[in-house]
Amino acid sequence: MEDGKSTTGFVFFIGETAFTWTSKKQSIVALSTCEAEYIVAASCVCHAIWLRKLMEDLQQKQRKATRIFVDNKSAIALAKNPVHHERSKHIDTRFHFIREHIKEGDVELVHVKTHEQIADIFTKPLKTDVFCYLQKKLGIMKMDGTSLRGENVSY
Amino acid sequence: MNGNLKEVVYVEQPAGFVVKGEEEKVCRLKKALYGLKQAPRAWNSRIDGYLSQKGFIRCPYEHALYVKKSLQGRVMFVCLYVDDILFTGDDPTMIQDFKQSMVKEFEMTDLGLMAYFLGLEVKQCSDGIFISQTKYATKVLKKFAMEDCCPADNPVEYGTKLTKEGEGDLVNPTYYKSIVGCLRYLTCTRPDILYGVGLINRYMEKLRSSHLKTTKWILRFVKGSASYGLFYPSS
Repeated sequence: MEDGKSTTGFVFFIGETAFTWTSKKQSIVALSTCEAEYIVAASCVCHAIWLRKLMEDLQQKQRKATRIFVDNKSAIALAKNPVHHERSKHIDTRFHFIREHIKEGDVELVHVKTHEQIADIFTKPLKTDVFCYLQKKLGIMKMDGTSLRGENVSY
Repeated sequence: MNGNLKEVVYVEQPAGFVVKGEEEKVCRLKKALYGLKQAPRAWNSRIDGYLSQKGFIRCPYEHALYVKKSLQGRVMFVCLYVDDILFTGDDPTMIQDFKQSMVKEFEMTDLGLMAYFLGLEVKQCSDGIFISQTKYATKVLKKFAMEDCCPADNPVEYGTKLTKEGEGDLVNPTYYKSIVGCLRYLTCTRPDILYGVGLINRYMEKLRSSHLKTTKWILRFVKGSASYGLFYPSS
């Protein structure tokens, strides 16, 4: 990016199909990838909390914690351990509310390998093969004119 | 037109209906009129009041959503979009009652199973639900004379970098913004183009042909994938 700001991107799934997503340029400059990922995780947690409440109203109470897949191990560590570190001491404390919601069992941060991070489709231009793979992962497909059976769906 | 007005509002006598000899008089509105500043608010209070009276509770997390639970533990959901209403539930009697009361109270028509809503095409069957905007996408391509363009296999070419200054000739901003707006609506069922749309959306001031090229690239991608959508399997 020209101005050093990263792009936030996250997506939530129902079954294996995406149903709510975001792609937005962050308003602040992050000093490290870890910090940028941490900011994304924070906005993702906000959305997750709201969705959990909404789902409860729709009679679909989520008993287990909502799993959030992050492709940065340091960001996960930062959310779990409130250690004071030279490289992370400047991070705005408001982002640390993630820790609270992890403790309460609302959300859980899980590591995912970078090439399996579906949200990448919302944050950067991709090579065509990667793009097609992630597009499929979102649950986007071509409608088969004659039938809606899963097997007949083609790409 | 269904909303009741709280305020006293007067309008001039409508053209062609002016009473002879009383031309200086105005009309007092009994109900909200289309285009009136108060109309949307009046309509929302009316429907909100009606739904609460019928036992629906407005969801505190999403104000356009109403939930009703019966004593038998059955539920019904109502979703408002101005005067378009979507509803679902697990009790056929509740649904039937609701339909009848809405038809009677608001002179609404029942369009049956949702198939088309705000440009969204919905196909429902036993395997699941498929949503797409094929017709809308085709219309957009036609609008910008891209219906015969060469399809692209990726919405944003790998390595694309845009700058504020841009390159090439200046571009008509109205035309550019109109494309961006149309593409943004298309992201409802096409999250795959969202990054690209967000990217072109950042440049709205000095538009040059390099910006337009990226925008048209997304249209070319849409051309090759107009019938794509999201499939939600039922299992």
